[in-house]
Amino acid sequence: MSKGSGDSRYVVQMYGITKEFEGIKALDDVDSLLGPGQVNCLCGENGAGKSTLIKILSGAYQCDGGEIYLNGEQVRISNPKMAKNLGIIPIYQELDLIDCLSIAENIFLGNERKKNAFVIDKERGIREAEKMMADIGCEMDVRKNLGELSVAQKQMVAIAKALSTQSKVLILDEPSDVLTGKELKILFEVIRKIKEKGVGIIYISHRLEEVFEIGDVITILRDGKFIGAAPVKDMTRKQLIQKMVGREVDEDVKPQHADPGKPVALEAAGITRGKVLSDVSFLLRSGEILGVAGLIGAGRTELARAIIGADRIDKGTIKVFGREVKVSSPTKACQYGIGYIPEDRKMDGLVLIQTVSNNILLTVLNQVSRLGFLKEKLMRDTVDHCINQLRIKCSGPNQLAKYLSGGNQQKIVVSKWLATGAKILILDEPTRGVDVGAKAEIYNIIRDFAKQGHAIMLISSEMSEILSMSDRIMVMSEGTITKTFDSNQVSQEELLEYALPKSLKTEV
Amino acid sequence: MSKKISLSYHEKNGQIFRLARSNAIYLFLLLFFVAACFASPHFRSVSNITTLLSQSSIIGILAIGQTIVLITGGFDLSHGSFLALVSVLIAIVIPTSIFGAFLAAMVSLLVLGFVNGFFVNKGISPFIVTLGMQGIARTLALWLANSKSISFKADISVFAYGSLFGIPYCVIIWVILMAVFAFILNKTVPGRHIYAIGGNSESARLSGVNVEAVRYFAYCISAFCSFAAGVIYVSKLGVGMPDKAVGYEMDSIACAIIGGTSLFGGVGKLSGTLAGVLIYGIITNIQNLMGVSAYWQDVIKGLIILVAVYFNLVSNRRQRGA
Amino acid sequence: MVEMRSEKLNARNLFSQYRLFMILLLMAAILSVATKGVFLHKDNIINLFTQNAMLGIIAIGQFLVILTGGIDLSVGSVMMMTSVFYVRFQGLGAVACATLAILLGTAFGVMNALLITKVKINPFITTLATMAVAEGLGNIFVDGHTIFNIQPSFLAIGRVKIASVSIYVFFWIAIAVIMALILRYTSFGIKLYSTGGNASVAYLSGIKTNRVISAAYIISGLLCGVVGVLYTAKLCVGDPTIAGTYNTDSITAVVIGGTSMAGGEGKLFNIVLGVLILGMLSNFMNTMGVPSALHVGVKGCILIATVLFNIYEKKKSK
Repeated sequence: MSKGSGDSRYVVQMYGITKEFEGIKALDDVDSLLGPGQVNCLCGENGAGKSTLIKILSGAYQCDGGEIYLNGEQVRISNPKMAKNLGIIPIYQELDLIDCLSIAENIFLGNERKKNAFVIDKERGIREAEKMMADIGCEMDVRKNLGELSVAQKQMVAIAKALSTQSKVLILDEPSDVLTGKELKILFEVIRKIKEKGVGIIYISHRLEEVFEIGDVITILRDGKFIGAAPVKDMTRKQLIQKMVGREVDEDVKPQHADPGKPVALEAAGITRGKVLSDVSFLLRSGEILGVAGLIGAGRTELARAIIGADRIDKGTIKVFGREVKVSSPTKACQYGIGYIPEDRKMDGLVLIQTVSNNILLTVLNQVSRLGFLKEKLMRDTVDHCINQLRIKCSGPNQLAKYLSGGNQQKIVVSKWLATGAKILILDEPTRGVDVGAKAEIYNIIRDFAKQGHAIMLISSEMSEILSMSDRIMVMSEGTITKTFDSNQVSQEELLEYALPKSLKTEV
Repeated sequence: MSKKISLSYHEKNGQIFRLARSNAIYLFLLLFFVAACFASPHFRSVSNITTLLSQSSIIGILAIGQTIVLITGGFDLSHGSFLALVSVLIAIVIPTSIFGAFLAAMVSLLVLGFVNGFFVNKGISPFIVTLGMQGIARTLALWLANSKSISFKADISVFAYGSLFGIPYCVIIWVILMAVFAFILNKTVPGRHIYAIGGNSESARLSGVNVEAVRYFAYCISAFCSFAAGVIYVSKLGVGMPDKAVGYEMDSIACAIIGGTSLFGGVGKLSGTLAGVLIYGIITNIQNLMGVSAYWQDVIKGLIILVAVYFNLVSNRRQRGA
Repeated sequence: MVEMRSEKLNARNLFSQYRLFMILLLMAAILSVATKGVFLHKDNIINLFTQNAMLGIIAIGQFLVILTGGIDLSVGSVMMMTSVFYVRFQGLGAVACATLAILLGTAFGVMNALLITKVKINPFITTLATMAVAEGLGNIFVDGHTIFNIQPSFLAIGRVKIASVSIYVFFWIAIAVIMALILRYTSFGIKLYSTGGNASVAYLSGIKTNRVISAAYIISGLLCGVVGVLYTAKLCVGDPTIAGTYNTDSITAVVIGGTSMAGGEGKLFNIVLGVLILGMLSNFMNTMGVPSALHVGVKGCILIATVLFNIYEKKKSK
C-alpha cells in the first residue's frame, strides 16, 4: 500500500510505520486500516511486531517513520494521555484500573459526575455506570470494589470506561488469555454491541478460532513486515498460518536427531504449579539442545523458574543425573549444577551498576574465595577465561555492566553460569534484543557447549532459531507440553499449530 | 438479550468474610472496652471516659491527617514538631491578637505542608522528606522561641478544658473535623482521587487525575490537622514549648494502622482510624490507671506498631495477591 | 558493530569523583577564614576527628544498611539504651558490663534483621518501631534519671590517648579500614553490593540475600552497642536523653557521602568524609553563633537538598 492521505471513511489509517530498537527493526513499513464498526485482527507470531504497532497507536511509543490518520486527519500521538484524548483506548492484560475504587468510580475517574465544583453526585454516577454496563450487556452492582471482580469482569469495566469517554478505537491485546469459554462469549457479545456504535476495534489473539469468529479483517505481520490484509471471509485457517509463518527455508538447518545413547542429565516428571504448569514431564540429555517452543504465556519461563527453585511447585519430581533432588531455591539449583539465563537480562540477569567481573563471579563467589577472602588471581583468571571464551567486548573487567551492548551483556549472563561448571543450562530467549552479529556468535557458543557435553534447554519464541539450533523440540501451550519432536525436521507451521492455544471449551 | 453476571456462590461467601474483616476493628474496640472495664474499676466512670476522650483528641486529629497521607501511599513524620511549632507561633503572636496568632500558625503550617508535598512530588521518599521537615520544623520552633518556653497572658484554655453541655470542646472539634474530612474523602472529587493515586498513581494519571495536586492537598490537610491539634495542645499547656511534643507522629501512625489503613496506599477509612484512636486511648488510659511507667508505655507503643503493621501487611498482601 | 561506551575522562567526571574532597577542602577553607586561622591549628583538627568519631562509627553501620536498600532509624536510641545499660549494673565490672551492652545492641540488630527479612516488614517502619522500644527500654533501665555515679574503671577507655590523640579516633579509623577491606576484599562485600543493586538477581544467582541483609542490620546494632559504651566512658554520664540527632545525622552523613538510598552504590571512605563535612558544618555554625537548636533545621535542609541532588544526578546519567 502506498502512502495515502486522510480518508474520513476510515477511523484509523496507518501508513509506512517503522520503528527501530537498538538497531533492530521491530516494524518495517507497516500499513493498517481500520473502519468504523470493524474488528481488525492483528495476527503474527511472537516478535512479529503486533504489540509494537499497537503501542505506537496508543502513544506508548513514537514511530520513527510513517503517518497516522484519525478520521481523516493526520495526528502525531506523543504520549498515552494524548491517545486517550483522541479516543484511542488500549485494554491490556494489566488493566489500568484501580482496585480499591468501586466500579462506578473507576468508570468515571477523572470524569466524575458532580453536583457542583467538588462534590460528587454519587447516585448519578451509579445510575449512569449501571446504564453503561447494561449497554454492553453486563449487569453488575456497580458499587462493588473493583478488587472483588474477576479479571473477565474487570475487562468489561475497562471497556465500559473506554466507552464513557466517547472512544473511537478500542485495542484489545490478547483479551481471551484470561477468560473462560463462557466469559469469552460474553466478551464477543460486548464487542458486537460496540461495533454497532461505530467504534473500531483492533483485536490481537493467538487463538485463530476467535479471529475467524469475531474478526472482519485480518492484518498479518511477520518479522516486523506487513504481509497482507484481507477480509476474514476470504481466508482459511491454513492460509493464515502459512502467511504468519512464511515459506522461507533456512539453509543451514542441518537435520539433527536426538542421540539416545547420552546420559539423561535432567528428568522432570509431573511438574505442576497452580494453573500455570500442569503435569509437565520431559527428559534432557547431556550434549543435546532441547528446543522449547511456544507462545508468550505458554509457561516456558515458569517451567524454568520451577526447575531452578525460584518458584515453588505443587507437585512433581526432578532428577539430576539420575538422582532425585529437591530444588528448593536457586542456591540449591546452583549446587546441583543447573544454570538459568533469564529472559530479561537487564532486570533479572545482571546487576547493571556492578562491574563485568563482579557480575560474572556472582554465582561462584564461594569458589573464588577462601574463608571469605577473595583470591584476586583466581578471580582475574576466571573472568579473563570467560571474557576470552565468549569473546565479550568490554573495556576491561572493571567496566560497569550497564555500558555494554545487549549482546555482550547476554554473554556475561551466560558466562556467569559457565563459571559454576553447571552441566545443565536453561537459556530463556538468549538472543532477544541482540543484533545479528552477536546472535551468530551466541549460537556458536551454545553449539560449543553442547559439544562439550552440557545439557541445554533452549527456550525461544523464534521458530527459525529453534529449528536451526535444536536436536529435539518440545512445544508448550497453556502450561502443558503439547508435542515433543525427536528431531528438528519439523515445519514452522507444525510448530505454530501445536503452540496455538486450543479453542476455549464452552462451559455447559 | 442482556446477560446478567451474577454473584457466584464463592463471591457471596467472600462477601461475608470481607464484611467481618473490615468491621473487625469495631469488634476489637468493643473487646478492649469491655476488657478495660474489668481491668480497672476506675475506668468505667464518666469522668474517666471524658478524660480519655479529651486526651485522645490531639492524637485523634493528627490521625486524620496521617490517614489521608497514608492513603495516598505516603507518610508524615512531622506531626510532633508541627505541634511544637504551633504552640510557639501562637504563644508569640497572641499578645498582639488572638485571631492573628491562629491565622499565623495555620498559614505557616499550610506552607510547610505544601513544602512536604513539593518534595514528595519531586520523587523523594516521603519518609525522608517528612523526616527532614521534622527537623526543620523543630528548629524553627526552637529558633523562634529562643529555646525557651514562652508564656502568654491570654486565656485560651477553653479549647482543652472547656466543655459544652458536658462534652469537652476538644472532642467537639475532633468530631467536626472528622465529619468534614470524612465527607471530603468519600463524597468529593479530590477525596476519591486521593484513593485513586494511592491505588495506582500511574493509572490515575492516565485517567486524567492531577496526581501532583492531590498530593499537595493531602500533605496540606495533614499540616492543617497538625494546626488544629496544635491549638488544643497549646491550650492545654498554657505556654509555648518548642522542645516538647516529640514523637506524636508515632502515635498518629499507630492509630491509623490499627484502624486498618494500608501502608501500601489506597485503603483506609476515617471510621477505622477513629476506632484505632479509641483503642489506643483505652490502652494508654488503662496503663495510666494501672500505674505503668511512661517508659514501659513507650516500649509497648513500639510493639503495638509492629504487631499492627504485621497484621496490616498480611491482610493487604493477601488482598493484593488475590 | 558493537557499541562500547566507557567512562569519559574529563573535567566533569573528575569533579564528580573528587567532589567530596573538594567540598571538604572548601569547608576547611571557609572555617579557617571564619575562625581567623584558628581552625587550622593541629589541636582543632584533632578535635574535629575526636568529636565525630562516635558518629563516624555509627555511620559505618548505617552505610551497610543503606547499601542493602534499607535504613536503620533506631541507631540513636539503641546507642542510648546500651550506653545507660553499660553503667546500670556496675557491680558486674567494667568488662562484663561492656560486653553485655554490646550484646544488647547486637540483639536489637538481630531483632531488626528478623523483622525485616523473615516477617518482611518495611525497614522504615520496623526501625521506627524498634527505635521506640529501645528508647523506652533505655529509660526504663535508669528510671528516667541520669546516672552520674560511675566507677573509674568504666570510664578508663575514654581517657586513653595515643600520641595525645584520643583512642576513639583510632577506633573509628580502624573500624572504617577493616570494613572497607571487608567490602573490597571479601566475597561478603560483593554479595552486599549485589544484593543492594538487584536483590532478585543476587538471589537467582544463588546468594542468600536474607543472610546478607541480616548481617548489615546486625553489624549496625553491634556498632551502636560499641558506641554506647564509648559514649558513656567519654562523657561520664548514663544519660537517657542523648539519642537526639544520631539517627538523622548518620543518615545525612551517608547521603552526603554519595550513597544511593536505593542501595548497591557507595564507598565507605566517602562516608568518613561525609561525617567530617557534617562535623565541620556544626563547627561552622557554632563559630557563626548559630544557636545549637537551629543546627537540626540546617541539617534537615541539607539532607533533603543532598538527596535531591543525588536523584538529579542519577537522572542525568541515564
